[in-house]
Parts: sequence; structure tokens; C-alpha cells
Amino acid sequence: MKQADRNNEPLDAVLRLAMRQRPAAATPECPDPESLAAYSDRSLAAAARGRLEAHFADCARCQMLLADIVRAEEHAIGARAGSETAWFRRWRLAIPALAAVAAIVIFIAIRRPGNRELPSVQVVAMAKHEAPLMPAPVPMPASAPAAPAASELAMHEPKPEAAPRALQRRAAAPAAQVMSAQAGAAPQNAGAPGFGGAAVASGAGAAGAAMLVTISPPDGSVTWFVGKNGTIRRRDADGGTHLQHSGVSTDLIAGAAPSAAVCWIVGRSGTIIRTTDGEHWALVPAPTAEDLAAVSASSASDAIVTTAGGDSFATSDGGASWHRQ
Amino acid sequence: MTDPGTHVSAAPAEFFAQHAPALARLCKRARAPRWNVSDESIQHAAWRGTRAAGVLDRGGVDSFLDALHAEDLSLAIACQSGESAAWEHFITSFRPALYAAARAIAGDEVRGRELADSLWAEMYGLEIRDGRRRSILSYFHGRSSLLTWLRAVLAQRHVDYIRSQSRIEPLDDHLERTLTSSRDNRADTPEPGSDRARYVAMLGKALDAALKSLAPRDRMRMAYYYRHDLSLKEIGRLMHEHESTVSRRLARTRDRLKREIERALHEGDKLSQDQIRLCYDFAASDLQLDLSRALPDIK
Repeated sequence: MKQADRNNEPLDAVLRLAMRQRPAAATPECPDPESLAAYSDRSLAAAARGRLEAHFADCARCQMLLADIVRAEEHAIGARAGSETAWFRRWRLAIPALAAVAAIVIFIAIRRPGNRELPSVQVVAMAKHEAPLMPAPVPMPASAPAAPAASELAMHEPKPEAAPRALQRRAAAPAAQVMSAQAGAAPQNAGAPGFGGAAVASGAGAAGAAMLVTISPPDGSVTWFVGKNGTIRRRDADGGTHLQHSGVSTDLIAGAAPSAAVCWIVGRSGTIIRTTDGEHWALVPAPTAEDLAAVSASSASDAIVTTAGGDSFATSDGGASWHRQ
Repeated sequence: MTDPGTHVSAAPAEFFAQHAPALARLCKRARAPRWNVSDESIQHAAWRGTRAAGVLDRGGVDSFLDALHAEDLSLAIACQSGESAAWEHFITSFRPALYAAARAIAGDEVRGRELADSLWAEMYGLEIRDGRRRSILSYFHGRSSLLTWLRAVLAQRHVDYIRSQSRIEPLDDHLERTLTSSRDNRADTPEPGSDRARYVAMLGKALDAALKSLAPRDRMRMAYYYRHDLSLKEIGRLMHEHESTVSRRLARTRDRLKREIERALHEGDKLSQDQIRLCYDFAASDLQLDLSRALPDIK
């Protein structure tokens, strides 16, 4: 019988009307409150319970008392449940946010130089997302050397005003795609508002392929622009730029340069390439076939790469061997 | 309340001797020393509780003692004796629940607070007899949890209050609509005055007989549902049945009632189906209808 059915038929209305009574006075047969409470608590033996039920069946007053007791119990249970539900509702909204923050913190912790167990914990380089590819050449910042020609690379140096927009996109990126901030960023990156020279590398998403990534060593003497289809262009200290042969055709996503001569670059499908003379790139055996989203390096032999899924691998022998972090 | 209170003669030594192991278990569970309550006080309270419950056989007493809510009992005894730490614990642990229960029972905040306040005063003990403050906690013997007992006492006070106020509760909205609708329809229905009274009387008699034929638990279920407006879940809690069982048995009982009533009206009073419908209509629309005598469980 559903509650909604109550009074749906004439019989129900008659029953309710017939049973509407003011409570009666207690009779000598009525049990004391403790017996009622014990019955409600199921603390009574079967025989005692049976005796009481024989009375309850014919006593409106005792029924009313029991009804009040059970209402109070249900009210208390409901209040507790409501409180727990309210707690859950509050935290249900917070939990994903906290999880995202935790993921970022863990990711940053992994990326922190102090956690790399590398011989040198110097921050060595940074990689930075830039604005999407532009259809026409974009003027370089006044302090920067000339940008490479668009026809050559189909990649462009970011406009100064493009930085905030790029940063906004980074802020909206999944946590796993946000890389750690690093000191000693390249000059053109150090002024990025809100990041304080932060290095951000993209994940292996579609956006990553459309991004321009710049890599500079701490002294900023050179800059590598890397991107789609294994393209690398180097810009020297005098502003001259030239294409370099990467030896790969996969999209390059992030890089790290401990010095002007040494640079590590990672990309899709576990691509890792490295130069030790600043000019020639060689493929490094990868520990995974997953898309790599980030890399940090302190020398030609020591590096840590991180997959888009958040797994990190370190090498201290130039990539000859890797171990999971 | 059947217990005379704390001033009882010393429990017979025979009781203590016969049930020493069970009493020892009770005292251990009571953790009475933390409230400075002696084992002897616990044992005396247990003896009074056994008498109040009418437990006589030896095995039954042991089971009874083992089932007592020992910690609540020792707390109640400590509060009666004015132990400040016990009162502090009692207030901290039970005051919010007491007020919440009072609100739920009274149905409104103000009356609930009045109800709880009055009980609080009684627990402290406003009455002084033989030079001692008398608390209603002396009626608690640990047969239930202290909180359920407090709810039961609140319910009792509330029912007595309603009686004292001779309150006539307003009809609920649904019933009011039903009655209004019936009254509105009455103009369209030819109903000689004599027939109306006769039909109501016949229905009352049939209902009386049908209800009397029900098993006590079936009557209880119907009363909880129709008289006290308890939900299926609440009825299940009271009847120690699952909600679905309550639903199924209520439906079955109701169908049986309907069959019995209509059979009696049809076969006994020779009414047609239209006339039976009129019986229901007249009965449901008549606020002065007194079918209480048809229900043996209404005093």
C-alpha cells in the first residue's frame, strides 16, 4: 500500500474519520513509559512483547505514545542523515577541486629539482606554450631578435600581448598538463604576467600540437622553437635563426636546456631527442611509448620525462636506462 | 508509573545471592565508579527494575539483568544523587536530543521547548519529599535506553497536555477536501434523510464487525496507518517488520475489510452496489459521524 493511496477511496476516508479521536486517559493496564520505551527499543523478551502488543492493539493512547516515540526516533535519524548529506554535499563540490589541486601539487613535487635525485639541481631550462600558430609573421618584442620566417617553420614567436592569453589557456588546462614553475627562465618568458618566469609545457592533447614551444637555457643565449612534425628552429644570441634536423616527425611538446649546448626535447609517442652540441639532435631510447608532456634536465646525462598520464621516468646515463619515479 | 521511587526497602538478600553473577556482570557494564555510584546502588536499582517488569523466574531474571542498559542506569542513578559530573555528561549528551524529540513530538518549536523544559525540571527534581529532591529519573531502571525513555516520557506528557487542552485538531487538508467535495456532491444525489442515517448506521455496524475479526497486529497496523498517520517505515519500526511487509499486510487487511463490509451490507442488509457507495459517501461526509464505537481499540 503506497502512502499516496491513503484516502484514495471512500473506505480510506471512512477509516480515517472513524479513527480520529482525542487521546484517552491512561488505564491501569497501560504500561509505564519505560515499558513502552523498552518495547520500542526491542529490549523485551518475546513473551513480554506479546503481552504488550495484546494491549496496544486495543489501546489508542498507547498507540499514540508509541507513534510519538517512533516519530521522534525517525526525526533524529533524519536529522543525522540530513547532516551527513549536507556534509557530503559540501564536500562533493570541494573534492574534485581538492583532487585537482592535489594532482598539481604532486606533479609539481615530482618536477621540483630537489626531487630529481640528479647530480645538479640547478634549474636548467624551461619550455613554454605560446599562442596558436598565426597566419602571418608576427613582430618580435623589441628586446628580442628577429623571429624566424613563417614560411620556413609555420611557427611564430609570440606577440608580447599574446602572453596573457596563452597563460589563460594554461590556467584552464588539465592539471597534468601544467608543469612546474622554474627559476631562471628565459628572458622572453621571465616577464610573463602571473607566472614569474614559470615554465609550462603542454600535454599531448590536440592543443599541444598547435602550440609553439620555446626552450632556452638559463643564460638565455639561445632559443629553440619546436612544434609540429618534429620541427626545430634555433635562434642564436645574435638573433639569427636556422632550422635544425630533429630526425623525428612526431609533434614535439616540451623541452629543457641545461645549457646552450645541451637540450632535451620530448613529444608524442614517447619521442625523446637530445642535442649535446646545440646543433645536432639524436633520438634517445624512451622508457615509454606514451605521449610525453614534460621534461626536465640538468645535464646531458640526467633528465626526467613525464608522460601525459603523469608517470615520470628518470635517467642518469643519457637515456641508456630509465627508472620510474 | 509503577515504581515507588528510590525509597525502597533493601533488596532481599536472596535476590542478590541468586543472581550474583548476573549482577556482577551488570555492575561491570555499568561503569558506575566514574560517577561515584556504588555497585550496591546498581544492584538495588536492578532489583526494583525486576519487580517493576514483573520478571519472576530465575532464568528470566538473569536474562533481564543482562539486557539492562547498564551505563544509562548508572548515569541516571548518579544524576538522581546530584553528581555534578554525571549531570554535566547528561546535559551534554542528552539535552540536544531531548529538545529535538520534544519538537518532533509536539510538532512545533514553541510547544516542543515548553515540553522539554518542563521535563528537564522534573528530571532535576522539583518535588522534595522526606527531605530529598525527587527526580523522575528514579523511574528509569535501564530496561530501555535512557534516550528512548526520555522520548516516552515526553510523549506521555504531550498526550496528557492535549487531553488537558481538549484540543480538537483540525482536519487534514486532504480529508477536508474530501468532505467538501462530498458535501458539494450531495446536492446532486437524491438522499432522503432517513436513508442517510440508516446507511451510516449500517456501515458502522459492518465496519465494527470487520474490525473485530482482525488479528490484533492487523488492527495495530491499521491504527498506526489511519489513525496516527505513521509512514510505512515508522510502522515497520514499531511492529518490527520490514517496510515492504507492512505495505503488503496493510493492503491485504484493507482489502479484507472492504470485502467483509461490502459482503455484510450486500448479504445482510440487502444493499445494492449503488447503495453501498452511498453508505461510504454519507459516512465520509458526515463530520458528526461517530464510528468510534465501531473500533474496539479506541477508549
